[in-house]
Amino acid sequence: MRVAPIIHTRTFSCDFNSEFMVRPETFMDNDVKWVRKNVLMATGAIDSLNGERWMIVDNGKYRVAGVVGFLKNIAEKCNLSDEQRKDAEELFCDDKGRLVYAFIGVVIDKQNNDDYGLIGYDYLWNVYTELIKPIWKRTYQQVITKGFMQVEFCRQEEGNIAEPYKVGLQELYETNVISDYNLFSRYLCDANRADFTFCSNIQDFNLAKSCDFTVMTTNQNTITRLKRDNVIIPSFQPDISSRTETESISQYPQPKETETKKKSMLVLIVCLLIFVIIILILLLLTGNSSTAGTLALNVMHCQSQLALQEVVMSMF
Amino acid sequence: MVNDYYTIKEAAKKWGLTERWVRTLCSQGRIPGVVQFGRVWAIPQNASKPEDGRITTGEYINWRKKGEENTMADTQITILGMSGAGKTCYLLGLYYKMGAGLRGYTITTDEDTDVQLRDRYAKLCDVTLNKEQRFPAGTDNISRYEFDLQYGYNTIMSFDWVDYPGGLLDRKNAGNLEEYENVKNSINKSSSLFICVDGSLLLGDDIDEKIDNVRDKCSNVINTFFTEYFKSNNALPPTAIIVTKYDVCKDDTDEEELCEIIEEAFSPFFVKNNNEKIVTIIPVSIGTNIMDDDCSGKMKPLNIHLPIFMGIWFALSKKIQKHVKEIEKQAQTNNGEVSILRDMKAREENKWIFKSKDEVQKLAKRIQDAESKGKKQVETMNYMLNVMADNSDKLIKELQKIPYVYINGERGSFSDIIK
Repeated sequence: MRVAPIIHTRTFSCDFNSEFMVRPETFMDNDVKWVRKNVLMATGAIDSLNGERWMIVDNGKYRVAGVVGFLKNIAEKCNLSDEQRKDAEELFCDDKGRLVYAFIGVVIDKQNNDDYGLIGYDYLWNVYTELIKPIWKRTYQQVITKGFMQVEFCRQEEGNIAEPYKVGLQELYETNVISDYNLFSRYLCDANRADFTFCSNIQDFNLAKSCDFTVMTTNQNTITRLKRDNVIIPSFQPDISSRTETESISQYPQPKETETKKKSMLVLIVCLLIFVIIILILLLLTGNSSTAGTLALNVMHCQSQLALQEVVMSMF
Repeated sequence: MVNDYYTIKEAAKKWGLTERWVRTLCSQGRIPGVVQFGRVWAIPQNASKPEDGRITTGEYINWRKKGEENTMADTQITILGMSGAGKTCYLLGLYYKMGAGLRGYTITTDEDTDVQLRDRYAKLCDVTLNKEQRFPAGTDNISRYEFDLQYGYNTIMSFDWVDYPGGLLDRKNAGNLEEYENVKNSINKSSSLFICVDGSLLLGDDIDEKIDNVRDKCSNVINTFFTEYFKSNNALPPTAIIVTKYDVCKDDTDEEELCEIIEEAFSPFFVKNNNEKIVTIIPVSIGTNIMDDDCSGKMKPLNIHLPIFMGIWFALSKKIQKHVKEIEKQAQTNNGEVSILRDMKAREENKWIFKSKDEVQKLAKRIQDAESKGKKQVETMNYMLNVMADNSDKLIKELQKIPYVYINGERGSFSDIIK
């Protein structure tokens, strides 16, 4: 398998490096950002971490796989000689006496890699001690970049894996030390799978709720709660019907006002017509038809002008 | 709550919905006329039940995370300090002490965070564990919590507590620019800032060495953030300089010497000039001898609540000022509405032909409604203003215990700020 090391850790007196303490030399800023985002999720709620978390993230170009845990716990899982164990103790705590945790992993260059093997505690611990021990006590740290190299890993048969619980697009499994590693093995060695993220042993509910690993192992309580809370609230359409009743009190509805104006205009025109007809009848009754006609026309003209003015006035 | 308004609980009961869902509806603005005070919502009794706009099928990746981006807290308090200064232990001690209740005040959060914080505090208290196992690990993750400060179970104010990893402050522009910008923006929008100074830097007899320690391990990094803050806001935020682990250094550094060291190491804060600056120095401790290797120490928090009370008081004062302005603005808007209606009525009345009595009556009714609505709104706002002012008074009693207060570089007391 063609791999390069990647390590996110603090050292004795230096804090975590936001661009990783060790990373592949081919990594671009976007790659750093992508892996960092996932590593920060995998290292969340670290004080409540019991055991280790295995993480794999794959974006089609790279597959990053490794372990998150306190160095003390990781070292305990390795086959170390007494001397190695004694040496390792130096790396367990920082200058403030706090336990140090880390993400130790490998980056697989998917475009130049055909075979996928399984990595374990011993290989990762060796990578860590080889690269970090020499710089452990430095008070100024810089990123170490490393090239890809061919490393042979054995392929382990995965054990029985239960069916996942589906919540949205996420697959959730119940966590267990053995099955977590089996799942890690399955996803790491699956050459055909791409664009997925996996993290095991996320027991803190707040962390489980906020992280977006596509495959995650957690406790049964969290699975139940995530399933129960899986009510999606997408872009909401405002409910106009429920608003109109209250809002109408404070607003001045324009359509209503226009309607009233229309009504009054109609009444005005009807009145005008009646008035003209009456005048015409009166004039006709007097007998002078030509004078009556002119007068009627003049009256009509005046009245329509007046009506128009009134309408305009009421409109503005 | 005021008459004509329901609480979340009452509205939930009336509509047959869960309290949580009603709260969501309020925060989404789906209930007309709803008013918020802190985390408390006041729902008009005449508001109709909103439609259920939820979709229970479909697959939306990251939906949970998206919802979390909108926090509803009234204010934000940011704690700055280098790695290992004791920020997380301070928070755990604060939450434990305030969780149990202190003179009627409590700090609460959601159930899951509560469990997490209590669990971590329990670990801190367990004297059978090794020192390394008791204390929280130095992390690279930004911790953000949402708390309510309550008095007699009534929420005085909700606040976001943001804890940045010490290393993130030190890195500045190295690394992820977006991350750094987020830190800067978050600091700039905080109503108060807390600076954690590690008390273990104040061990020994040499005062100059202690000043250098604080400069090297804290102020040289922190000061630049205040410069940025001043550039963005043209003022400095109320700041509490919290000296953590005071139990460790109190034998070597008495309180007067402590002030001298802080004044020297953070000298720009103590310059007497026209820039408004309110700074307090608060020595705190979560217990005595808890850092000892034999793990014999017991948890006994000292002064731990004072910084947070200070932060809340300043945020509350700001909110009161804003609220007074809002009341004035609301009154103006109401008067405007009424005067428009009066004009319309007058115009209708002055018509010499086709005058509609019905329309005049309608307008008179609308004027009456608008006047009573405006009066009610102002009454509600005044009620809230009184509640806020009352809460502020309650905090003042405790705040007068802050030992060292500096106003524009001059040492004074909290009473001087209140004046």
